[in-house]
Amino acid sequence: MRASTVLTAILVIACMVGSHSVVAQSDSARDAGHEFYFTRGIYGGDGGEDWGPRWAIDFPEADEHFLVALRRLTVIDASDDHNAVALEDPKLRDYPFLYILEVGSLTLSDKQASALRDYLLAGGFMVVDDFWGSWAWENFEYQMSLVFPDRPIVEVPLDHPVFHAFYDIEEIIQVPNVHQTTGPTHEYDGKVPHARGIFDNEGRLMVLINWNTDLGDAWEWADNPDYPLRFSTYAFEIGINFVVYGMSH
Amino acid sequence: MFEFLFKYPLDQFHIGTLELAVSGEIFIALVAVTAILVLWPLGYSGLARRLGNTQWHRPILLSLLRTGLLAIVLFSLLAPQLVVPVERHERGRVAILIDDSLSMRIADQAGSTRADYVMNAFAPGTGVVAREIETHFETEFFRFAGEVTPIRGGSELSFSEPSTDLAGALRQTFDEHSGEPLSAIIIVTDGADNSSSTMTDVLTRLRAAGVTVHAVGVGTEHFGKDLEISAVRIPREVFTGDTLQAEVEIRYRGLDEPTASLLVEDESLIIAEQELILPPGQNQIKARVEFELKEAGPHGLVFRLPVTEDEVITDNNEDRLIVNVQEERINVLHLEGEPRFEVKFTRRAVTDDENIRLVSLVRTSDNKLYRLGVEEPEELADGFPTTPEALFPFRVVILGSVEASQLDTNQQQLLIDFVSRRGGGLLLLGGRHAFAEGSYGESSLAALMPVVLDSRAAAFRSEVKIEPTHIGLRHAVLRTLDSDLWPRLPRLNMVNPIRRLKPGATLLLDGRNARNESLVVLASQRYGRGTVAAFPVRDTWRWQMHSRVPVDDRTHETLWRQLLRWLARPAAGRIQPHLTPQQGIVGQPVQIFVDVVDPAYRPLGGATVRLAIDNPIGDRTELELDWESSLAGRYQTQFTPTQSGRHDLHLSLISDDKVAATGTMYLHVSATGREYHRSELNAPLLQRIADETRGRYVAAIDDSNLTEAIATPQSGRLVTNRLPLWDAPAIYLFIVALACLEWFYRRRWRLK
Repeated sequence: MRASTVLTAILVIACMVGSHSVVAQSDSARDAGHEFYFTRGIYGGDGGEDWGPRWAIDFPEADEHFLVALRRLTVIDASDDHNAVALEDPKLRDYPFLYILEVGSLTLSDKQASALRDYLLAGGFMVVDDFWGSWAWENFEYQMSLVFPDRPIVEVPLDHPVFHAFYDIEEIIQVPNVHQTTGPTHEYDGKVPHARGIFDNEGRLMVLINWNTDLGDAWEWADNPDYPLRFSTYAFEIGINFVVYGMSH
Repeated sequence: MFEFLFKYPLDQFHIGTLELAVSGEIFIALVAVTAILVLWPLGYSGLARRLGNTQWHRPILLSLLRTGLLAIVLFSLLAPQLVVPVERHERGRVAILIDDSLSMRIADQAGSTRADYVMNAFAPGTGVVAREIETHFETEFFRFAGEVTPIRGGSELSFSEPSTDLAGALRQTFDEHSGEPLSAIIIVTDGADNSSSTMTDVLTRLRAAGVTVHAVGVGTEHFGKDLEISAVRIPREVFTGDTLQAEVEIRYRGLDEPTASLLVEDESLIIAEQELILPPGQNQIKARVEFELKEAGPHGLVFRLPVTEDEVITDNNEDRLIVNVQEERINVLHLEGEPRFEVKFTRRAVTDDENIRLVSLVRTSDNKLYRLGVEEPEELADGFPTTPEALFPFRVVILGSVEASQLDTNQQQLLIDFVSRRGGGLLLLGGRHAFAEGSYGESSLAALMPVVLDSRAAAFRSEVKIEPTHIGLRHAVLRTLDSDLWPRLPRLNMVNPIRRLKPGATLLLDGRNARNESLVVLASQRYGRGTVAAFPVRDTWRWQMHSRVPVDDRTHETLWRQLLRWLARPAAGRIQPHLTPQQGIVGQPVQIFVDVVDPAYRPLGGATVRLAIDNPIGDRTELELDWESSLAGRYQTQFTPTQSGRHDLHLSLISDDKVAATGTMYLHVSATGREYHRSELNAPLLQRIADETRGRYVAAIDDSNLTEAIATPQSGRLVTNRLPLWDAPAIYLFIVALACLEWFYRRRWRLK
């Protein structure tokens, strides 16, 4: 057996153990009685042989690092525990802020699509991250059409309150993964970063889609001296904006 | 001989008491007498020295004689008098008050009208009972309704007055006869009082003066068949979009059907209808009917019950009133010390309500405040307001999880003034920095709270199941929520252990935790002009987000919308008018009181307040209100409507020749008042009037007892005679005798 295969197997097992422990932790995290839980959506889908389940990419370090920054820079009563919950789990409705990523591999069952629709219409706010290129977009767009068949996905302008809730974000930056911090920062054909959204009938932003960018990696590798500070700083700033916006709009 | 010396026979001294008429000077006189008694012997000290020890008794005797003489003179100057009770036999005076109101036309007195009975029995000069009374007493006749007027004959009775004020009639009669005391008052009435006068005061005065009131009750205590709207309770000022609930009091007698349909009409359009069940074992019920008035402005509402066959009175099957719908926007300021989902979901809950503007100030870091819902870039840029001008435009303030220390002393006082003076609503939410956990127990804001703050709890957290209290179910905040809903609602979290209410607070929602411990979830109390509500749960948003709550469920939205609207309602503008009575009657004066405040809502005296009244036929009356200097910001006037229908009252506050503030209110004026409402014979009230003045209550059908009842009392009255004694010959004889005795001793002892 090749060493890389062994390493992959260890990582997969670690992630699986991690995910189970995380789900178990969500109960205890809730019991701690904090106002905010950084909640990561668990979904099924293709892939995962190399990096574990797609939903768990950068997990849990990205979440934990982001929470350190969130607690330090704001007065939000945030739990410092990561908190992953399956999309179809009724407990998801206890956490009005949801982070989901690698949605190029997202495959929603009818039950998950229905649960996600109800979650968002009831007032949940979902931040989508780390998916690149047109093929990933097409998949995500199709999956969201299962959730909202008649709601368009539109560009969110920079003067939208979500970009000014805590920090003033003046431009959408492409945040690269840790392996592409020098040279081209994009993956596949996703050269231009976008912030797109799905709005409810009242014009409130329900889903914020960060396409062709990888905020999660910037959080995860923020303590890596080789990861450029400007990317991690930007990622923390815009991430905090998403949380403050999600708790107030 | 005794009578010669003391002016009066001896028996007068046995039954009488001796008093001094000059009571005010008694003290001075006593001081003078004491001084003389002490100083007089000193004048003889020189004499004593000259006479030596063998004749020591002489100066003492002389001084006693002189002192006695002076004491008698002083006694005479103090105007002594003999107070003797005397029974004086004279013909008693009786005032007969006849109810001249419209309700006397009701035909329930042994087959004829109440008025017919009065004319036969009590008409001056011709009434059978009246003539009998006149043989025993000196009698005066009066008619009354709103005012008491003397009459000479039955032709002066019209039985058409649209109001009845029993207490006012008794008071006026008593006051006008204070110089010529009455033996008794006989009041002939159905007792159907519809005034706001209080009876207790006048009865106390009558009793103290020994004036007996005999009451003759006319009519029947229970109509044969009747259906009546006896009262309608509803807010007179509401906001557009408010769901109104009217509490309608219905009385009924002898109906064939145990059901009736209650209609609510707005300008002839039926806006609500409710089927009522009228249990045969009762004679009154309270019905609650809900509706919404969509258009801004005054709405003339009619509450109507069907007329049934053979009803004694049909005029009481409806009631009319005016409700004014304000289009004013309700500004709400929400202050949070940290980002919380409660901010988001509260904002969501009122999004659909066009009347509510919710401004949120959320502290996001130690030095950052996130403003939501502001309309101008500079609005609240410096944070929570520091002046009345900035805070008082809001009608409701919400304090969330924000420490008391985030508000400085000035801001805390401003918030107290906001509630107590401005009449704003304050809502206190639960959170880790709220209530005792936010150190409010040590702040001046603790006084506002409807709950008792215990000491700060260490890491308290409790999940509570919430249920409305009995009062809560009927309260404006909760009543439109389905009562079956509560068991299904998710539990909410509390981090503030609040278990006790302050006296006077009302509990609307009660919470039970896993240990079945009771916790306060929603409580309120009035504070000054405003209202304060404590809602110490942390996450009402779970009633919107929870998986058990359907996405289209409106519980959360309804709760927040009604809570904020209810808290906003008491807040009045700078001109706050009050009318007495609230419903006008043609020909009856209406008192208008207006409280005026300055921009900081402090009472404003000495201002010019003008009133323009538009009557239903388009005539305008303009008045200037008088300032009641005894009450800082109170102005008043009165007017007497001459037309029935809606009157629009436009008030304006003039400052520096400019209109500084305006206010409008509406008055419904009717021709008949409420004479046909609650118009059965009110025997208990008449019995009380008689009992408390030691009189008799007699039902009209039994009036043969009346003359007997009132003839027995004191046709002779007990008076007191005050007989002066200062000029009694005995006093002068004593003075002369003492002077002569002193002269005699001086001559005998050869003294100067």
